[in-house]
Amino acid sequence: MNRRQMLATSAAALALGGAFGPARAAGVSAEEIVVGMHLDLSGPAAAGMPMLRQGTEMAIARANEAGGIHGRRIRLVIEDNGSQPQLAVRVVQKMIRSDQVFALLNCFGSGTNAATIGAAVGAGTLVFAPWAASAVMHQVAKNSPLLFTTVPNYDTTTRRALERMIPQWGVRRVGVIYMEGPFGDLIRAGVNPALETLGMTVAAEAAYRPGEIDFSSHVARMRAADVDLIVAGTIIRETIGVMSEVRKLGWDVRVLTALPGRGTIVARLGGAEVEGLYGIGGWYLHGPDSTDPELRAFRDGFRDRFGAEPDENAANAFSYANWFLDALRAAGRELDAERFVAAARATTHADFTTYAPLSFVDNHAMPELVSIDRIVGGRWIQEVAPF
Amino acid sequence: MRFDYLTSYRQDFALLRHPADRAAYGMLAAALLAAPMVVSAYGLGELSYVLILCIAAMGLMVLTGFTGQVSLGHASFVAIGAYGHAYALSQGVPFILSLPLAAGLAALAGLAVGVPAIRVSGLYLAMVTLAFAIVVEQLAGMWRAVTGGYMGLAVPPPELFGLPLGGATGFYYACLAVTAMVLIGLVNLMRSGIGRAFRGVRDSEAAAHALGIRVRAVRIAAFGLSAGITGLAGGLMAHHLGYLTPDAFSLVLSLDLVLMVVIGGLGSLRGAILGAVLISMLPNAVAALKAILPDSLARQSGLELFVSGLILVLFVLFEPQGLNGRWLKLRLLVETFPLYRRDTFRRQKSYMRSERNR
Repeated sequence: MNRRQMLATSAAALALGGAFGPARAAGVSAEEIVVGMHLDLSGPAAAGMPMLRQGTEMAIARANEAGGIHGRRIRLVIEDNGSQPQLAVRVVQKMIRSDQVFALLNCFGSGTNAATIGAAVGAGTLVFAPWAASAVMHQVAKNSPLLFTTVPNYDTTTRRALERMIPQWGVRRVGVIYMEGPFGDLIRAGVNPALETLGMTVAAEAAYRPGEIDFSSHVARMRAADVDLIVAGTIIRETIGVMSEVRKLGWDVRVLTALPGRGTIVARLGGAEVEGLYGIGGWYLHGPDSTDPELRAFRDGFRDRFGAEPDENAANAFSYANWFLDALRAAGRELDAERFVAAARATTHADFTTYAPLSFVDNHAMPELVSIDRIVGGRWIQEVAPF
Repeated sequence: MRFDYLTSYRQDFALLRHPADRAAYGMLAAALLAAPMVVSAYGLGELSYVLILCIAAMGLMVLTGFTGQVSLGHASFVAIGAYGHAYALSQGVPFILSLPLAAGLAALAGLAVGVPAIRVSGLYLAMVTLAFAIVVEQLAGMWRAVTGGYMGLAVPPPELFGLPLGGATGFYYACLAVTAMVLIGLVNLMRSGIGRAFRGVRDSEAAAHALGIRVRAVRIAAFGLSAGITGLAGGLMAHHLGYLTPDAFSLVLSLDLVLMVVIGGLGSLRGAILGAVLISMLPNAVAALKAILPDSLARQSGLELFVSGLILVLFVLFEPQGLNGRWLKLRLLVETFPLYRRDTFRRQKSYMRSERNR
């Protein structure tokens, strides 16, 4: 194209723009907004994905049934990342280049998000609520304004909880059981500074590998160091494994699990063995008899749509998706990435999952309040209100 | 049927002997060169990835297909190539030097694995390589100063003599050039004395030894060569990913590579390429399949695993020679129609069984 053609084309484009409104962002047409989502549909985390997917789908379906956002329907494109970064790169390229999505919403996985977020924000695509370590994602995206994270950071929440609870419980010796890998790194990045501010050091540390099921040596090391608080940087099965070892020894010690261990599934699967386990909570866990009207509406709607009980992942996916939709609404009919960013930064979000009204500070959902919950009678009961 | 009448040794040396071959491969090359003008940016990205996997599959083919050594740990050489390349780039080494450097690093690692590997074979060799892959994955997670640990390492965008290669087209041509170089190099190497030594070791170590082939040296060299080529693929893979974390080089990648060479057809470079194309396009095929299937079926998790498992089983049952074997049969059927005999391809000797005569 020579310069004259270029000038003519841009003049024509300007004229068209004047007639039909300003140029629109990728994925936004007169009738619809395309939103992408990649999940692990075939890999190791596939069993948990239906909840995440259905929670998101429900939020979007409800918005569409109510007439869409400023007259536009939301179309959700879902792809499989198999928990493999290579596959994630390919599907994100497909969503950006071929489906031309406006935003990526509720995408799952640390490695998969780390490999794709840079390319996505580089292409001008919004990334909202990636299910991955938030601080790392901002680092990968070089603090791009197009990335909005909502998942509480494991390091800062662990630190906050310990700085409050160690003096309150009168704990003198702290032991840590953590998973080797990024998750364990984050847990220790929370424990160590907390103990430093309190003038303490870690009395014992024991690392486990993903997939390990026997925790006798880890708990024995804690016992040998005579700790009076075990911080368990564990997920589902490992949390139960640690607790059943503690029970076996008949040891009366406080065990506090970080955010991922505080889930209904731990209480349900662990049964009597996890009774008395403490957990750091970053969002509300409602019991089956909760009377919260918003929660009830969500639960009934979910049951009607999918014929299943929603879990907390479905609730969080639903909550994050609603926040995204609120920001879209606030951005107005003339939509592009810049307007969305400005609007999203001005929104506050509160529903049946949040401890306090959340808003974006440096594009991360704040404040990160934590509660201390305890399993009593097979259910998580809040012991210390969010602080 | 066609009989060649050769008038000089030159003719016998030619890679493409017949005008029809030259026309077919010429058209393929032209189509690949012209692809950026027709294919969308997304399609180019996919093509680049397929090419990267072709290189890695050819690397594994040298080892498994040509010397009969199984490796379940080739993802580790991809990882070494990728991390080596990314580290060298971040230290200011230019792309054109850093890529061979990464390949050399992977080749050294391959030689190191090859040394213990000459003492074991078959299933035990598979276990040694698997263990090596696990060690490398852990190392990539722990060695923070070089690999960035589990938090990952950003890969600088590729640049060639000041020209950015980061775009879809530039990167595609880079992948295409490397693939072509590796393919031509390997085709020539595999029909040279070295290649014949590889095959001799594969078919019978005892016979190879009797013919004066230094079996151990050949086996180690095959490991080094294979790892080097796979490392080259790793260097390009680093740019495909843009951000390296250890979970990109897990067992899944190793198994995918094994699937590629087995389904493609052991002992042929064409097979490696066909296998890589098939396996890398499988997720796209499953996604397309999901669009047609009823919602209840399409939402089942594990459909991908089922489809790739099914394909493997079908190949093992009905076409043990892989895609390459099927291709050769089809070609002969067309060439000799209606005189095609099925027995032409009856297996007379199996590579796997040769271990008995060692």
